[in-house]
Amino acid sequence: MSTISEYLWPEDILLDIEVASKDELLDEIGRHMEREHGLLREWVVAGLNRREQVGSTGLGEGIAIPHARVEDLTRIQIAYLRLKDPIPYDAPDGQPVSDVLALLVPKRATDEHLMILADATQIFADRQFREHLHSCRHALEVKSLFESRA
Amino acid sequence: MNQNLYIGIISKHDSLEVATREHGKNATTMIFPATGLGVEALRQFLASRGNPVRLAVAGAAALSVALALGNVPFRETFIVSSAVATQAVDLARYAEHAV
Repeated sequence: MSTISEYLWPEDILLDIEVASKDELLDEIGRHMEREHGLLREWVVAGLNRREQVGSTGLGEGIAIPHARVEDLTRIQIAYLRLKDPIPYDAPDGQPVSDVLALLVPKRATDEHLMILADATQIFADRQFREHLHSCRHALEVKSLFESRA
Repeated sequence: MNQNLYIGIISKHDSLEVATREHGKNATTMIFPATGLGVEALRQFLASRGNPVRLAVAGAAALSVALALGNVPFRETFIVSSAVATQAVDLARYAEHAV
């Protein structure tokens, strides 16, 4: 079981999300975290925006990993969002983003944060994985796909 | 409390072996692909890291990797001969103790 699948639950897998900009995306993430996990939307959005001020979290090849390190968070929260239409994201390769892995990480969870990044880059670098990911119709299929990656 | 982060990176043909070490804790090792995605993910992690970081890099493309990871305040980067260490954990220890 991959590191990501340990933290990614079906209720945190959002498919065919319609947003037109990075701001709308971060707001959508904030709304989701508030709805599902009781985290204050403004707090989540502010944290994600603060990180974007340091530099875009677009990795290239249509992938972004917006994230925030949070002092009082007790556990890592991960959400995967597949966008219905790609959005501009100031990624290093200039490509718009369609796959988003949102991370909220406790401030002291340095190792776990890096392990998730390592897992994400290995998984998303696999073109076949991304093709399967984009063909999934339900959150449970996505969850199973992440779990299939050893 | 010493909150420095010490990182060792071994650059191999198609992967980056990365070890992280914080004072008083055991090291943790992970693998990043030696692709644009992998390097960019590492670069972004380092860019947003608030506490000082000491980074030791060795291997086939050590200089390219070190340059790609960029330079920010409170970070020291060491380019190390592969003869010094063949595992990222040893490089992280090197980063901790290098003068």
